[in-house]
Amino acid sequence: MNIHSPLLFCHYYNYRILIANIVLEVYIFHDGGRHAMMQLQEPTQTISPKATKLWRIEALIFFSIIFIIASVLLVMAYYFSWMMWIKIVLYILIAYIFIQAVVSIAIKPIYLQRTWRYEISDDFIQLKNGFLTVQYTVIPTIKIEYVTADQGPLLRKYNLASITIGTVASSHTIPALPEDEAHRLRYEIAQIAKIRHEASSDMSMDDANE
Amino acid sequence: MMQMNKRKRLHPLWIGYELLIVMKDVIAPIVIAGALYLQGHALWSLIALIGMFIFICYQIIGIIFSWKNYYYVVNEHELEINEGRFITKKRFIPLTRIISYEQKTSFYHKFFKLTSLELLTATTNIDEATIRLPMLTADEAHEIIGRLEKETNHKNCEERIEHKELAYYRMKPVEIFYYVITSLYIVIGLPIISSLITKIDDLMPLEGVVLTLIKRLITSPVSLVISILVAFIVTVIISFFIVYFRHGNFTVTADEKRLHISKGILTTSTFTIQKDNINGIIIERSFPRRLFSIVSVKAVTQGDMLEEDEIKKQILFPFIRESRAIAILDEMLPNYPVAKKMCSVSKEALFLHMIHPSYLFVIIIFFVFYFGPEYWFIPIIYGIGLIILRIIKAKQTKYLYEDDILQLQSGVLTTNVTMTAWEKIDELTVSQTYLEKKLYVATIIFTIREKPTYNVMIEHIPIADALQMLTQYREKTEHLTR
Repeated sequence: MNIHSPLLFCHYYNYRILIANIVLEVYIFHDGGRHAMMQLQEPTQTISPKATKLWRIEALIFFSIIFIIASVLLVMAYYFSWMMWIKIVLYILIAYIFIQAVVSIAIKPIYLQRTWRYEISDDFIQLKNGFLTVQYTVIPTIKIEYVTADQGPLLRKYNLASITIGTVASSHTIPALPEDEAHRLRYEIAQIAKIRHEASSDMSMDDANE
Repeated sequence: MMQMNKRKRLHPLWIGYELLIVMKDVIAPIVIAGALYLQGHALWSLIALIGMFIFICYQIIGIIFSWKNYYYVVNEHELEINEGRFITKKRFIPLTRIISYEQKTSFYHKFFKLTSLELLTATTNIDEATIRLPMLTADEAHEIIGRLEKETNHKNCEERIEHKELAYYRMKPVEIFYYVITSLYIVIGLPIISSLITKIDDLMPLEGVVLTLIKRLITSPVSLVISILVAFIVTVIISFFIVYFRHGNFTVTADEKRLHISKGILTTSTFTIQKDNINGIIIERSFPRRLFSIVSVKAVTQGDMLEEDEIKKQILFPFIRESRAIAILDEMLPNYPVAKKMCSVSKEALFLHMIHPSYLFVIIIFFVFYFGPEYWFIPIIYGIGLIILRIIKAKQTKYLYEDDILQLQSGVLTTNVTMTAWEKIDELTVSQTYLEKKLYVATIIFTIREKPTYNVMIEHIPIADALQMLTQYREKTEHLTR
């Protein structure tokens, strides 16, 4: 276990802003003793612009149902004269739901649609998305177990489809892709995964023959 | 080879074993029915007995049918199993898909010199992950294990099998003692034993002798201390034996490729796994045991045992001194070296932990001020506790990554140190909230293969570190697949 001391940024954390600024542009890492420069290739592909509309309708339906439930509860609270604190809690909840509804109908879909990025290469599937919390996930293609293209009634209306990529551990969805694009991607991912699995089993066969 | 491909049934004594289990389930209802009869509800007890009789008949027929339908064939590269009661199902399992196996020998098995095998596969369907061969002769079990080992060896191009097994760990009685003292046995055991002592009068016709004795004991402080001590010692001794029968004879041996974990006094079991199939090691420091630096070490494997409908991680050492655990691990699994010094998170992380909203806190404040402002101290105590726990959480979030080491620590009262390798990680997610972005920190989530998924989340580490881990992960997995 004789390894040269690695470049650990937590040791230089006082200079974090400086380092982080450099790192965000060009990424420096330590590679077997020599420093190398490498661009951190972030995903670039975008999803369909129709996603905004779609998510708005979905959010509208969802929040309408929630509002109906909340108003029924409120009416019941007055009709059956429930305790005061229940009414207070209900009012707070309704205010909270209202803010949530405004955010997720008016602002969130636009922002999400603009920031959703994915990239499929021979080695990795990268997904990056998020409204206030940005998530960046890397899945090596060898870990892929299955891939499906799904289309619900709303998606069908807008000629869209979503793709679900499943690994042993979990599954991820790329939402609202144009229909043709989705089917092409599904095929592509399946091909990559198949080749990868074959390559890895070939490798072990070669090992056995040696 | 011809002889190997023959269809084989389970040993006929399996029927007896299953019948015993049915009898065990039925005893309690029969007793209840008897009690009903004695209380004069003759009709109800009759109905219950008839129901029971139908149930037992159904079970017996089912057992006989499932024995008749069950057979297995060990082919060259796969295992064929046919099973089912009234609907039969045939399964083919490639031997290379089998990740680990466990040989269990219960008291019944031991009495007839039989044994049972459980084979674990890597499947997404958790119900089909375990293949059970519940009643085999020792020779049959040996044959299957031999085939399995040959197949996995062949896969990794090592024809020569070195059966140089080394015993790395044997449980010491001292460790059981530490475990008993630091466990809940004391908390639960003491009241039970003291209540038993006071109840002796009701159970036995001693005419209140014991109670007066206790009263006399309690009046003098010296004898009170002595009696508490005696109760304590009795509790320790009883729980020592409980633990001994549960975990006793815990032994871990390993050869170059495989790890064997054996345990048990009455029911013995041996679990075997290839070292390659271990995805990570977890060192768990739970709260009271940390004071004695007693830890438990678990292995993250590709498929985990389903036992009594709950999934448990494979335990390597149930309770062991930390220094000893690290020394053994270094020797036994050199792929997962334990590094002492890890990076801690910064002041910014502590700040973010502090301002993280706690909904429960808000609810408590609301209810206390609405219903009883005189209990104003409750939210204050809760708030102080929250702050202390968050400081502990921030202090205990640590991480270390190098070329071939990845070591992550998280947790509040119970901390887990997870050691894994880059290639074993299924997914990596870096996430950044708005505030984290402003403070140049990020949260990183490692998904390590397991069923159910085993996630390790390290919160609020410098963004530079997070991105470097991401790049290193990409580098390593790229190399792996090429």
